Amino acid sequence: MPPTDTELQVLYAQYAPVIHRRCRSILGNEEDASDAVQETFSRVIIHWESFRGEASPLTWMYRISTNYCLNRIRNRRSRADKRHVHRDDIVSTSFERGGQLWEQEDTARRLLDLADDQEREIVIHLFFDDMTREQAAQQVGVSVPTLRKRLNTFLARARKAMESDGVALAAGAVVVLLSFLPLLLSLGGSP
Amino acid sequence: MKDLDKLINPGDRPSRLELGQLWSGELDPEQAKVLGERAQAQPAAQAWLESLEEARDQAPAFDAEILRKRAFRIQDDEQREVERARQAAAPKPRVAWWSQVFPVVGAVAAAAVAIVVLVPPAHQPNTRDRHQTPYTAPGVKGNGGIEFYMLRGDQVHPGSEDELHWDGDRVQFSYRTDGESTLVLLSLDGRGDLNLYYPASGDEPVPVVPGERRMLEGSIELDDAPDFELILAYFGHSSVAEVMEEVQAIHDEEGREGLLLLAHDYTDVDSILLRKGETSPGAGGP
Repeated sequence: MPPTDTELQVLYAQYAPVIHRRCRSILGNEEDASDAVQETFSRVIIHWESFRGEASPLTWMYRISTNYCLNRIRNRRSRADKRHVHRDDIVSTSFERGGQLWEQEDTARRLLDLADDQEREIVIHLFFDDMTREQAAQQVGVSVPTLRKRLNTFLARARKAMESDGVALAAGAVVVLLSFLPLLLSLGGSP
Repeated sequence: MKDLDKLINPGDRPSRLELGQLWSGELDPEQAKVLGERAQAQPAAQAWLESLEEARDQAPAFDAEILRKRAFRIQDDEQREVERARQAAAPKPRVAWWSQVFPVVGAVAAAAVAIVVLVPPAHQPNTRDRHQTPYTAPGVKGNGGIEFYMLRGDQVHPGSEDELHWDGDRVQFSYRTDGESTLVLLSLDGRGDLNLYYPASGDEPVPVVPGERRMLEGSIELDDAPDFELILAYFGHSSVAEVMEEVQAIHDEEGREGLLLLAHDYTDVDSILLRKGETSPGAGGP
């Protein structure tokens, strides 16, 4: 027996904002976050009978939306889009409040780009859901030592990649400065 | 770069899942009291709870029909996937090699004769047969379809196919549809590349609202691809992959003109042809 519209609407009011906020932080844009909400609630309809027995409906919805986010990230990585689609409204609203929160999400999204499929789920639970290692291990279905080992290997690789990004950035800045050097010298030498 | 380990929750604050449970009223009163007190002591937890409150207005509005349609589509796709997997896993009966070769040779010979006799020299599109009756789903043409606004420098104005466009122009699209609920928006540029704009990622078309004209969220920035950028809007299709496949096939066989013809002939496809100037206005152009 599928849920009635009223049952669905009550659940939606209760949980849609949570799923939306979470997926927006993971995926970084409104459009994907809204799609994640619809996907999650469509699956609530499909699995209504078993869903009703869940002790924590939100935990169930988290699992569904995690899978959705992982698919989105995978597809995004495999589809090279040559131009940037601007989404100004997200950047402006997020920096106004909780700048530190946003900084953490921004760092975590860079981590997602560097992670492979297995590591992404761990990154999502630790850096977006702010879970402890123990909670994340439970969600992923591995032991804490296994999670710790995978995480350490991944973080070592991520640090290296991020440092080389930093080096490239610094090198770029030096090149720009050097290109202006003759101009600066001539200005310094002029009477 | 911050030390990444330090970002991990050591257990002194509630996770965002727990905060979500608290916010949604899922916890019993005792659990909620304890968690609420923990959250109050943590500015990051407070900020997250506030952002959940704000998300009430940001989440898409509840629409039972959209959710049920999507649920149906998911089930349908999953069933097809299961069927495909079942067929792929089914053991193939062992057949003598000659019983396979003779029919194939016969079929190839018959097909070759049929091609020589029946197929006219003109190119035929391998996707839709555009000589048959055009697609007649709820119409998007007439006053419907896509239009655009353009931002050049700090000036925004309604876009027109009659004017020239340049690298760096920003374009935002609007749409109107009478009955379709999805949209895929993509472009073919002067380099022959296909670019998918909506959805920005994933294989699900973006949901659209029938009725009055609405703006699509976000804008695209034109790059330095030469000559033109042909924007195509597909309404009412359920798979991005199918749309991309059709556009690619028509482009391979008939080029840009084939795609323009498609948009002209069918009510579910609309197009905008942006012609590109050779020199940007900033570089001494018009």
